[in-house]
Amino acid sequence: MAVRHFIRKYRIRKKRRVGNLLSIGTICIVLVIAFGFLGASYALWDQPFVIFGSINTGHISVVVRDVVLESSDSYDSLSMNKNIEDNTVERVDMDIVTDAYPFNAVLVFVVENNGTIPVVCEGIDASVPDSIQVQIVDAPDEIAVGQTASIKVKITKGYCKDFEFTTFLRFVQSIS
Amino acid sequence: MNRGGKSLLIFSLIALILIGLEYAMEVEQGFKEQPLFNTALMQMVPEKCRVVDMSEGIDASIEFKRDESGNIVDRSFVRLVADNVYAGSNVSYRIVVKNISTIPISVERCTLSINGTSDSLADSIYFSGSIKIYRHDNEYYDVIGTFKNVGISELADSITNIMKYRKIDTTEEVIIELEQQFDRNDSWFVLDGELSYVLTPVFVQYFPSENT
Repeated sequence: MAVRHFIRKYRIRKKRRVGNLLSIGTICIVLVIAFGFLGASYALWDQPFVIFGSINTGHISVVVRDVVLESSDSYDSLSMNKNIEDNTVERVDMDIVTDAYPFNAVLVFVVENNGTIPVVCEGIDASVPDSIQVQIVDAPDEIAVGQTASIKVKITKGYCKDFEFTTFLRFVQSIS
Repeated sequence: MNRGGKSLLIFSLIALILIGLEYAMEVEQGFKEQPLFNTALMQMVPEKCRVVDMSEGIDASIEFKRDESGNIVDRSFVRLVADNVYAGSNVSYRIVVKNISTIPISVERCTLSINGTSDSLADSIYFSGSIKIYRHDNEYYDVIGTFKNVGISELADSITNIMKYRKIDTTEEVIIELEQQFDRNDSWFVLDGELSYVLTPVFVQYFPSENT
């Protein structure tokens, strides 16, 4: 009797417990979903702004428009041939017959700043052969954009025949 | 299920339906009328945004998204342009943003992303500036913070630290004065490079802390 009573009571309690679980579980799930959407809606209630920054640097471009012999030691004969393409001197051939040793000449390079920022001539390329000396005698402090300027270069060379060399002037941004 | 549980379940279902409807309205793209989709909190004031100062030779400007007629179509986007920059140069911008909503606003966070072909340019750029809030119909302003010589990677954090938890009331304007400076050391500055960055402050409703 007591056992039957206990089992019956347990069964009812068990049913109630399952029923309670179902109702409470359902409510919890619904509330979780509801608050989930609430959070999503709140997250949407904001406004991002966009500040887009675009930066482009300038560039350096200097071209040689002309090369002129300003002065030199005495010579028997001297000829200068300039290879000019698109108004730019690409190559200079100098043919000199002289008794001077060493022979010194000052060339004037007429350059134009074709870039977008002011530049200054920093010097001569250091890879010039040791048998020839090349140095800048005079150069402007700054060459503005679009400006043409003259740079004097002194060349000193001993005896040679069919001597060729390549060098270039180094230009960097002028910081005033 | 007992009566209390049923009531709670019904209430929750109604709440869920209402929230779902609001969510649907938020993401709906088909609304043409502004009153129906008026979720804008802050808006640029284009006529007050301008380039304040720039070094010689630089091309700087402020641009907005415009339609074919030239009308601004998006007042939450601004493009700060600086071309032909060089070592030692600088550009200053002034950006004005207004609270056009009916609730007080604050900045939750600020993020920054960098795109570009020149890493050395990113290392060579520094930012300085200040952030002000004009109050009471522009009668006076409060300088809520300044920053100086901040690298690009720290810019977002600097702005977040200044603006977070600051209240921007309705109709008040926020002025961001931003100066871009480029390192004078030209050995670091590689020319023929480009860089872009996207700075995104996120505005949210202002909720005061419990202590205030």
